[in-house]
Amino acid sequence: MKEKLEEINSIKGVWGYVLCDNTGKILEKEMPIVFMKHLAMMGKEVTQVVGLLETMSKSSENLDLLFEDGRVMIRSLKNFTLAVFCDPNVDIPMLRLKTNVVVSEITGDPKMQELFQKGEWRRRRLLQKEYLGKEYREILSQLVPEDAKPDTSA
Amino acid sequence: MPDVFMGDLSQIKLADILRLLLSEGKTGKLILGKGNDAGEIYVENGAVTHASSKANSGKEALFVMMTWMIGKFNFSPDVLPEEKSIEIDTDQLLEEGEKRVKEWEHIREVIPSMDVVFRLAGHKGSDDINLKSAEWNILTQVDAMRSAGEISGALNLDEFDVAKTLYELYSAGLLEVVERPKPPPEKIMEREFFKKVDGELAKALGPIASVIVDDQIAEMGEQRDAFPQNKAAELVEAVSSEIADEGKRIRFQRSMLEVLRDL
Repeated sequence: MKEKLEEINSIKGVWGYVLCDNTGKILEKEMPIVFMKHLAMMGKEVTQVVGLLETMSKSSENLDLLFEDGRVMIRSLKNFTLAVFCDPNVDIPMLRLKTNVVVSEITGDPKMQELFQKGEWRRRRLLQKEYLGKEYREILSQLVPEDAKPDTSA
Repeated sequence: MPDVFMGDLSQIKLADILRLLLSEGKTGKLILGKGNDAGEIYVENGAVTHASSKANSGKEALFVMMTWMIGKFNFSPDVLPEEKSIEIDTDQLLEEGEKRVKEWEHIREVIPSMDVVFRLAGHKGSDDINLKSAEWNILTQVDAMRSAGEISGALNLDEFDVAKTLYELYSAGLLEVVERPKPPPEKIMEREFFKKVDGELAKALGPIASVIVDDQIAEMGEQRDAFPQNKAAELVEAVSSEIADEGKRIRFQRSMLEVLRDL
């Protein structure tokens, strides 16, 4: 699987990727050394973004987050999330083609599915208070309708 | 002076407009526009107190606007600025601005626009060359590719300062003006690529495939015989969205990725 994932990195402008399960645990990664100190947070943050959107009943299967100096393409399926970090000017159609194929191969790979099942959570559990930073708590309190708020009393 | 004061910079220089406003002790906002550029100058009781343009504020903004030989102006009386960026004596300010306008006129003989590109000239003399650090910084950016404007952007320096330094280096015989290099011609997809797209798409959609490809090429404003390589992935992605069956769609995308990889 690593080989397939690394094909994503061969696209000009792609810096790296993380593949994580629904607990935010990173199962595969390839990132430049400069990002390494933030790596531990990446899986959780990416999964929380997807979980937050799910909680708000927003589509989260394909996310394209464009920043001034970077771009994050997030593909999320039922039990895993793939985030690709790249230059804002990356060839997006090429990246989408590659991630489509890779995501389909991950979905069809029994070994990967076994790994994902070990972390078979609902992503929105990562929105419980104990896992949330201050900013996320504020976003949640402002955006989520009262009846859709997750239980944060834990 | 009438209540409405407006006009054309080709008829009256900004320095003269300001002198008129200041001599009458006016307070208000002078709005200037030149093409896509725009700026504002505030006067208060006969003194310039603030100026801003899209790129600058303070006296730098005023000096840039003083070089505009065309454009429109409009004075709104009794408008005060939210901030003040100019504190020096107005006569001194205008004098400095006019000096800069004259310098620009000389510079424009060599650098009529910030699109001019320079390269290092072969040094013909035997004298030592002494450079200030600011000149060295700019000289290191000269590569026969970057324009004066791009150098100004890369170093985050005022256009006037960069143009002036380039002019001085040019006048000292250290630089030459060159024609801006043309971008390399766009790579065009070969017929073989379309044969593969049509063939692979036909496996999923049948004989209608080539019609779908043609429609998509037309929608992208392109033609088969002059289709740019940098749009190939976009075309593949677009036509693949016509395949409803997910398995067939992924198979098409996978085989096309192999074709795209070999480009």
